[in-house]
Amino acid sequence: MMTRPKLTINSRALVCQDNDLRGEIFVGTVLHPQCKVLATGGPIMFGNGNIVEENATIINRGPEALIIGDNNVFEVGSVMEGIKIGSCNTLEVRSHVKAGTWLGDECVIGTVCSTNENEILPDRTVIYGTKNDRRVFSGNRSNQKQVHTRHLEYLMQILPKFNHARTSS
Amino acid sequence: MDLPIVKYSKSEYIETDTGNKVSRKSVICGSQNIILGGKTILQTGSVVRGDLRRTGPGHAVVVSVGRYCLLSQGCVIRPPCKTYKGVFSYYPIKIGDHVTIGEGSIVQAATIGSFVTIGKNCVIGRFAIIKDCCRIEDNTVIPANTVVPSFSVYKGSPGKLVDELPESIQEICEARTKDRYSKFVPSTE
Repeated sequence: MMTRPKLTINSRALVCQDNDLRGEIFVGTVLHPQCKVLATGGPIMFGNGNIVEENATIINRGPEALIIGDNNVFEVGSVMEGIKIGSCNTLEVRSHVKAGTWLGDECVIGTVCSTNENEILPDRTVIYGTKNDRRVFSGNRSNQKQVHTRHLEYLMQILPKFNHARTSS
Repeated sequence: MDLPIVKYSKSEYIETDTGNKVSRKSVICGSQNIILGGKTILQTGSVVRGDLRRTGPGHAVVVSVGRYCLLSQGCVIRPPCKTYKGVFSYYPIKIGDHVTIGEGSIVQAATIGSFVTIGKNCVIGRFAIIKDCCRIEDNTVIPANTVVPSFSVYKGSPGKLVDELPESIQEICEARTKDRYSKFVPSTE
């Protein structure tokens, strides 16, 4: 039997229905329909302004809390099994952050790329290509931040018109 | 090539007046913004996001899908997004006739032409344009803003041109999608 998830949702968050949430979750973020947040071990604590798109999966199997920073994007079909994630990271379509990985700030895991297990990724790492090549991003991401805030504003405005939102339990 | 008869349980699928067969286990958001052209099949677990519409007043078509299309199990159709002149918005996605989208593929294209076959587990990036009569092989990644020309075969990550298709592909594709629709029948019991 599935137990009801224990949700704490703050005022700047939006959690759609029709998603799979399990365990103890603290949300300050936008969860699209059909995403999976499974706190089967310890709780999952979201920071502010994250976006979790459909079919994205965030799992915490360990006993410790999984703390997610601010302004991260988990795109369609991405899987996050790591133990820590900083701020302003982008997990692109169907990327995979494997168990035990530490993610710094402003990292990008490219489309269909994955990290190694128990890896520590420094800030601004970019993983790309079929062989999971990496490099450190040296450019300016201020534009990206602006786009992210606009994206959040858009979703907060549009999503409640078409989807039912969950409330804290 | 002769396709096998695929049976589905009658309680799972809804058939519309125009012959669309939509699984009850698919996820359709914002259905008032989605157009299915008729005789299109949406299988179990497919996700169509019609709720991510362009900002502004009035009626908006977000996802339009042509006739005789197949959206296989677990595929995701979602409109692409960008900021234009400082305004963030999602933009409509248009899919032509006789299009097959394979299992687990994620499509964020701007346009997909007619007679296109997309394999399993593909990722079609934002604002990609796929012209008519193309084939995208399994596990291909088409990056954002790519234009895939007609009669081409794309493969790999990032997707590259590997082959070309004969002009007869249009008839072959049309025959195959019609055959597939006619053989997608409810089980009798």
